[in-house]
Amino acid sequence: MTRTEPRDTRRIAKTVAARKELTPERLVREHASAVLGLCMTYTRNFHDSEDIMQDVFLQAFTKLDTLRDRTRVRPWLLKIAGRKCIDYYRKRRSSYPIAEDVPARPDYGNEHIIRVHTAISRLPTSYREAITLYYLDGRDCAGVARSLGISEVAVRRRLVRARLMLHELLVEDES
Amino acid sequence: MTKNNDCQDRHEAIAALVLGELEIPAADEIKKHMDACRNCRSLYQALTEEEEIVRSAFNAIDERSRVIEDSLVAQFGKGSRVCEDIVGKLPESQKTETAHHEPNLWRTIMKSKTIRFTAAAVIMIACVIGVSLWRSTSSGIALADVLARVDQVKAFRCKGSWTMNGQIAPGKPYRFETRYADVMSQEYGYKSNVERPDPNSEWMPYAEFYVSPQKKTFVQIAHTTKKYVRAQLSDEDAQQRQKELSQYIEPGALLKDIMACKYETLGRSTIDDVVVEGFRTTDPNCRSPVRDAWFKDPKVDVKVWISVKTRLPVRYEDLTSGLDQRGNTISQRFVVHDFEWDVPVTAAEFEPPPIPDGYAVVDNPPGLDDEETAIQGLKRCVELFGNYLETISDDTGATGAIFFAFEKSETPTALRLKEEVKGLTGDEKLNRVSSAGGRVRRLIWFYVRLVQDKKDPAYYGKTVTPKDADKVLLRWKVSDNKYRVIFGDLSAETVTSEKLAALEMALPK
Repeated sequence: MTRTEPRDTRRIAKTVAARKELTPERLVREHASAVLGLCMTYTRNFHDSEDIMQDVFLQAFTKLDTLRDRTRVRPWLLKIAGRKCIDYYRKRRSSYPIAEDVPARPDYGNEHIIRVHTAISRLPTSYREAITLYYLDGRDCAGVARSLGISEVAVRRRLVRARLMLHELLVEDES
Repeated sequence: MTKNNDCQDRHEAIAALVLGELEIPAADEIKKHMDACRNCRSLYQALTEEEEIVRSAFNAIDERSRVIEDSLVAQFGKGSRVCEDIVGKLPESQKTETAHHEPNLWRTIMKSKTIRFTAAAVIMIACVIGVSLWRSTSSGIALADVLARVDQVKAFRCKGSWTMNGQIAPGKPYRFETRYADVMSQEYGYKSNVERPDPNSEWMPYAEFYVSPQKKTFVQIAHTTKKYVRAQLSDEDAQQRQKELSQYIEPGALLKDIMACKYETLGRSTIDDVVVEGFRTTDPNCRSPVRDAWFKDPKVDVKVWISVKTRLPVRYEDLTSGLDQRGNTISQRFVVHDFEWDVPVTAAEFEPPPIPDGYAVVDNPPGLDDEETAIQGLKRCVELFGNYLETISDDTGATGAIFFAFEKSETPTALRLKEEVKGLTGDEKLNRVSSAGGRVRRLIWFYVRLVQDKKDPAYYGKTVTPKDADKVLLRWKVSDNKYRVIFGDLSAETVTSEKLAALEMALPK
């Protein structure tokens, strides 16, 4: 079984489920990977990403009544995640200086995973959002466009450029 | 424009091609170009090779997030303890609705500021606990995903065994062992063939069970006692009977239980050439309804192994040890294995076979046990043992408890039965006595079910006798402030909590 199959199934299930009302469980099930993925592009390690992700969902649970358009829950969550990640950076900067190219913590022992996420974290924000959501949402540009609130063409453009930049960064890192 | 710049312009198209995001005419054009351009071909190859690493990096996030999802949902999702806590704080009128409709729970939480903050606080505490859990697991398999797949299965078969080691009294051990082959179908119901070893350790048919929620029938054929039960049940009772009988093998219930507890991954291993990933919990809350009535402070070790390929359970083990309600050591081991998922089944397979010649129908078929069942069981205790059983909460030792009480008894019924079983082998004797104590066994089942349904039951057979008309012998909750009470003389009455408290205060210590 390839990894894409379950994700695609999940995506279809998500579309069907989109008509139903939000619950804490649905919020987590449908958006956890996107939130975690976005956090990873900032923090480059699972530990901090999971901490931030936890904060994101906590905030979401308590503020869900402020979300007027419930079809926009994904962009809303990603916005919270983006803000939390920036806060995370600020806090870290205020406590001790870190270089932009600080190596990620080698958690979970997967060097290549960290390499990829370190490279992604060096992409411009709009590119890293597009590429992250693309890979986590079953490689569906239309879905990413809905999540980011931009056109599909714009997503495709950002994605392609992000992919090329990622390649360059990975080659650079290898050499 | 130089040739090099031309190629530079084509790089985006090459990346789009690798991502599968290029329209066919443009894709054909770039492929044609690559046939002639070594640089572009190299870039295409490099991106294609790299793609696997990039995807696996995102797969890692996807898998990681599923583990976290499980932990989060287990902590605050429907049926979780956190959710129960929240429900517990709601007015009674909202509880039932809330427990069954997630959106209403959510709406209720969000509607009130107080409940919202309470919920947030509970979730926050849960998440703090959850963080340690997230970090302790790094499995590629998410139990929620397994549960979703199990829910999709239309029919499955499995085999299992149940071994119980206990003591009738200190120094008087007993061992009860069965093995079974079950098949369960969403359409046709549940069937179980149970075997027990005979004195020569040869496996012999012990009992067969057939439940059809569709036809609302229940059939039980007991081979050792040569009796059978054929009952027509209500919709609810048929569902309940299936649930009770299949509770030990039903994988969905097991997975939900594990997910609601703190669990760890056991890593990968192989079972019968199948690569599996194991999960384990030692939380006594896991599967508690199937053991709460029997064990005091049990030590629990529940493990489930999931096929990496199919993401469906391959094996399940549940080991419990501790003391029974009478303080004797007891241990039980369930193993369920040889799962066959989504097997074809037919209606005929769930049809009970013709009852063998010489089998007697049980005159009082055990529908879902009710108050009358309990009273009949208590009456039978007096006939057989001269008094009420000291404890009725020990289903696992029911046979042992009945046998032990019978051996000490000198009532006319017991003496007649003793005469009857003279010359029988140990096992035959046990079966005969167990059969004579059938109503007592149903009383025990009734009590076990009260425990499982959390109806706050209590039994005072140790101190209350048939002469104690005003003393509480057995009670259970029927509503918020009301309890049903069976007194020592077997009269029954519904009383308030306050009156019950006064009645129980008067019981001998």
